[in-house]
Amino acid sequence: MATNALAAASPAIPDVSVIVIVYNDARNLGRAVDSVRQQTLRNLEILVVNDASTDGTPLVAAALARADERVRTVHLPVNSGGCSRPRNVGMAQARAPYVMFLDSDDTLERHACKNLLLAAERTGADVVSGLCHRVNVITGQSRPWWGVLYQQHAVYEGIVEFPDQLYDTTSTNKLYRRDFLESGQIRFPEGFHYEDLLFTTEVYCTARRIAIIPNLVYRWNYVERAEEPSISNQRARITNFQHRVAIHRKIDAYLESHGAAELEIVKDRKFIRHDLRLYLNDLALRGPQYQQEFLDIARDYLRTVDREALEISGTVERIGAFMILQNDLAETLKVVDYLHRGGTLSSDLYEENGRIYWTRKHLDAPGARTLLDVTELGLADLPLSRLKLYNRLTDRSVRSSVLTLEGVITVPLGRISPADEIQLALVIRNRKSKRRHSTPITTWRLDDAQLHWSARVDVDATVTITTTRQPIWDVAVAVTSGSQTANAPVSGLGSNVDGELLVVNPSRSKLIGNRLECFLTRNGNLALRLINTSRLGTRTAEALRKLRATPAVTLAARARSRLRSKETKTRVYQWARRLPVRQGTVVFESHLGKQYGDSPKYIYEAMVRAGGPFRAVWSYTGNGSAWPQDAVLVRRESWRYYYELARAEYWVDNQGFPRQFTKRPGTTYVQTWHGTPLKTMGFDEPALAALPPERQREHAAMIERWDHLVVPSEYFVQTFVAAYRYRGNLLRVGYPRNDPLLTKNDPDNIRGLKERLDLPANRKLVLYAPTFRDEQHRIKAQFSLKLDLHLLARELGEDYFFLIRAHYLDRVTIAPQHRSIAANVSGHPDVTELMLVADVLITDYSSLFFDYANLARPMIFYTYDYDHYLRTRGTYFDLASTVPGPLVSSTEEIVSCLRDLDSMAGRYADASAAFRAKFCEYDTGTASDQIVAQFFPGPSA
Amino acid sequence: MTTTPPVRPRNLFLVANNIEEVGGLQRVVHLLAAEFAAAGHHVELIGIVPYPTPYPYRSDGSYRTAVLYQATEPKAWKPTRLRDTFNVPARRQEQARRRMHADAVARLSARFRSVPDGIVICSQAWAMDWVAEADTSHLRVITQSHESYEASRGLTPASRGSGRYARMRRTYRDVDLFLLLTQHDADRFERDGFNNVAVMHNPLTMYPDQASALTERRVINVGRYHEQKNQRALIQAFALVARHHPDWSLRLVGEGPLEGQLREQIDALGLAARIELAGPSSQVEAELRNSSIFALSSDFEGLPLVLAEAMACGVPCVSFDCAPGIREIISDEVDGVVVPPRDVEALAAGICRLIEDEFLRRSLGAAARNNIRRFSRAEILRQWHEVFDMVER
Repeated sequence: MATNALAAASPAIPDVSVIVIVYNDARNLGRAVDSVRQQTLRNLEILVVNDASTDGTPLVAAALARADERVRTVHLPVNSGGCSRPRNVGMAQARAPYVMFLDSDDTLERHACKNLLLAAERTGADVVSGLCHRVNVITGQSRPWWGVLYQQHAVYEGIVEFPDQLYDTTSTNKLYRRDFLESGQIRFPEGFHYEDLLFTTEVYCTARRIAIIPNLVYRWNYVERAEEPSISNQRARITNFQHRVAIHRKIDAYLESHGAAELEIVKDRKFIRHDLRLYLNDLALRGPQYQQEFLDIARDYLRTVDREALEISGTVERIGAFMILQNDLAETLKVVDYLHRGGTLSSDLYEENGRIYWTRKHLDAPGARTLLDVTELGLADLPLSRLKLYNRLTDRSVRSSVLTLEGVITVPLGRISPADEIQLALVIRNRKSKRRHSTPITTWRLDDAQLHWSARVDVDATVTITTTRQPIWDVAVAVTSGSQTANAPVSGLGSNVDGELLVVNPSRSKLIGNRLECFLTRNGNLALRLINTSRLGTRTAEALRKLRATPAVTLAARARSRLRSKETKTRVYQWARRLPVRQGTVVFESHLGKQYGDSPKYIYEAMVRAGGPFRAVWSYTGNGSAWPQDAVLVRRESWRYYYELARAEYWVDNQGFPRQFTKRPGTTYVQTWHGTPLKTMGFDEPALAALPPERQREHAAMIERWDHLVVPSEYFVQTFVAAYRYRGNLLRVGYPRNDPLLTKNDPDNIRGLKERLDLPANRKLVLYAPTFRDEQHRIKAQFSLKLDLHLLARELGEDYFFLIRAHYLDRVTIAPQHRSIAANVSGHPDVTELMLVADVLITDYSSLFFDYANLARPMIFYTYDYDHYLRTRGTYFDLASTVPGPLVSSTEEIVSCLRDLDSMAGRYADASAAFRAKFCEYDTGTASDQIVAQFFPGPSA
Repeated sequence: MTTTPPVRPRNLFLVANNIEEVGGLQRVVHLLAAEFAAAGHHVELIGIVPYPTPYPYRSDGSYRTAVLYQATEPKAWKPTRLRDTFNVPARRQEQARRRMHADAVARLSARFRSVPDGIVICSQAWAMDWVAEADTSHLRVITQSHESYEASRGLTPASRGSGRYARMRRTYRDVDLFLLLTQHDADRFERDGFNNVAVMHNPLTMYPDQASALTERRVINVGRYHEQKNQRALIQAFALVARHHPDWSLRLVGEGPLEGQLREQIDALGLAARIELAGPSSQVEAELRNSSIFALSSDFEGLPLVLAEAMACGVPCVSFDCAPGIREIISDEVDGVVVPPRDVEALAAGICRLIEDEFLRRSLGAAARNNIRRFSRAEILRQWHEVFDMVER
């Protein structure tokens, strides 16, 4: 509210004029104007320009003008039919040095005027642009409009400094210097829709300086499925597309006349990536007449577009434009599938000379090879499970509760081949509970690139329905080929499957629902929705919904989640410790349950071999399929996990059970720590020493739980054991995980292993296992391979093959062109087997080299970031002078080392023996057997 | 006060949670109130709740003070468990609290209505709950946050579980201006959709005429003995320093819950003769001027004014890079040394460098004393006047 004091303080000239245009929108006008009246910038004027409305708009405008002296109204005598004329009239009436535009159904953010004004004054820009949000009025959801352009404050000396700004073509989220518009005679073009496109293009091209602020300034409201669609939502009519193309032609003419040819390419790219895409989105849903007309108009216009604009558009977008130019509707629609249906691949791809093309069709048209090359999408390389196969429903019938479906899956690049064992299943999966109901498909055939299938499923007998709260199921076909599985959602576009009803009998009560309705998701895929057609059912559902919103039910839900919390489980654990120890129960865990491997695995296997009366329990994470099925498997952190640990006689692991597990007296803890230390550890680390005493005590308490610690060498005793102030018993037997390195190191076994792992038998194998680069504040593990595979292939391709093993927290991919020189073995659970087959090891600071030393084979230390990596950490010994191999820092050096392996081995023979004697002191290949003999003896013992 | 440009006298209300406790924030708001009053404004300083042992901040009567409540308000209560639904006494108490709250808001509105126009500066998010409900339609409202974005979000150990951020989202986004101590914090809030942010530093409380002579062989730290300040790390670092420089000592000025632990740690390292837990001091300026190096080993900070004070005394600082605010005060290698956070060895190395290189120590110290003038009272007051002009447009 403007007070006397404020009026006295404000000068006669407002800082900003906001031009609000309105046509028959009495309902929203007040909201729009209020958003300006409530601006934190008070010194402004509000010009309401009424485009000859026939509803109550003039009354609303008059009331607003009475309520606030800053509001002025202007009435046009005749409706102009667009936005241009009212805005031009408003501009002519504006008094402030800066103007803004607001549509009557939108609103300004509270600080918009001030933020834009301050930026204009600070930078001296002719136009300042801020972030706009598209707001769905019904759901309230809002999304940034071209948010990528508004990441930070910026000032451009002319549009050429940042042509991408042309993408934001709305005129309303901007503040303009009035004399800039006047001197350039920049006006909205009257008689066209999409007037913003031309107006902003002129503004951008004329402005000497453009400022960008990342703040939200404008809320662009829209109503989905509005009864009277606003202009930009009327895309269903072909004239709408004609208007848009016409405006683009005008922009082209404008740019040409202003000699701004370099901007034209950016604008054309925008047409392909944005404008065209908007229409392609709905193309599949239109009638054939619309489709052909659309293709004709678009083709006509695209012919005027520079070839280069096509090439720099998105990989798949440019193919869309190309197919329109070829007048090929079917292929255009395949592009639509990929772009608008989450990457669904309905094109069958084509490979030639190592390049992947979108399709074989039109490949010989001029320039087609460049445009159709999609190698960079990596589709040939992605695991099947990450490809979205196109699965078109060809026939269907619904009878009572039986659903019969037939369809065709497009198989790209022969990724599913008859050579592999193929299995199909129809999967109905609940979207919320993720529960899958799978029915094998027996009728299918694969010909050429098409996989035809036919499935029949009694939904009522297959799907379990227990609640109304998980009412949606997705329908897909799971295709297993070899070791990979692809999930192909059933696409029901054009099949009229929509609305078919299946009769079901939920297991609990009919009140939950009695029908499953077939419907198509936004992506056009088939899904089922639980509905209730009985009157009693709908009433019950309504009553239940109300009940759920009551506070008592909310509080009860909170109580339930508290019951499942770690705290409750820990209390139950404490209680369960009073039950008697279950003699003979051994709980195993490796790397916090992340894998089945390392020393616990070898102890477990030796224990099973010995055949003693022991019950093995393995802790696992994930789906548990990699763990031995004859052991009792418990998910980590589950109720069972707490219970088993509370009652077990033995705990065996290699890292540490969670802190809350205080050990009872009757339990024996065998710790097989997962590696010899190079870097300083435990209380030797200044960081740990600087922790507050209670945190140090917590640390010490975890270690005090250990009763026996497996020790590979006296070096380990002097470093690790001292650093952690461990005082329990030492098992000087060596690492169980290294047993196979000493007992299975014979040519026959290695040959067998290579065969099983599918590795080349006649080339030398090099294992590259870098350590985890644990950098601070790293959120997502991204690992860049520092090996030049291209160089290795050229220099050593015939004699060597590289096995790349990243740390389990890292991820690495090998490009297809390098598959002949290297393989990614990161997924292999047992590194011991990889060490056995590797003729050479390349590593850096990983403790792996202590283990590999047992094999007495050559090692190369690829320490390219030695200074960076070891600078901040202390080590127990000097790496360079101790390890039995050279330290190198480039791929070239690796090549020369590998070329000269024999002499290298000779040079390091003494060092190697000394290294082995020091660090593998107790490794004799009998560690597991010794431990089993001591703790888990067989019946003979 | 140096040269003051002529300004229009304004009605200013400064609001904080409490204005009587001994604390950094209270020191700042009283200082600001006095500065504004000296510049000719009509100033009223309002605390929401009283403090049991009020500190007599030196007020020459140039500004008014008021406290809204007679006693501390009880904590807000909401049923969280099923059985709470039937907790009648708690419900009664909550009703009483709400009445008290409404009365306090009415008193605040009355204060605000006593002027025709003016500006409210609310320094804390909790106090803003009252300001937001009071009638400010004829006033402009500026809010402040004196801690880092991370602390406001509850991402630091001490602030975990705090509801401050939710409160700020509710009451800070629509006010005329939201001021933060550092650009980093302003950027982070802006990214979260606060479109009214700007930066305002706190003024230096002192700028002594005489700088430290940098001759005493003493490293100093001033701060509460608290987890957040993490003097353990500094003691650990000084143990490394002490081996090379037997004639240097470390002085820790402050008091706090960790005193016993720190003493134990010093004794265990056998450095009782070299590291002194000096206790609290009212003569911080003298303490700083009798030292040659200031070391900061905190786990996290907002904009630690104590660094600026050390610099005003010409004492070069070595600090963990534990908050964006650090680099807003120290320019590394120009007027101080910044080392990676929690890196005890690097902290020790930094201290050793300043001990061993007297020229470096003196040049960083001189640069520090000069550069920190940007936090001087006159400069900060000038920026406030710019802000007043801006919010009144």
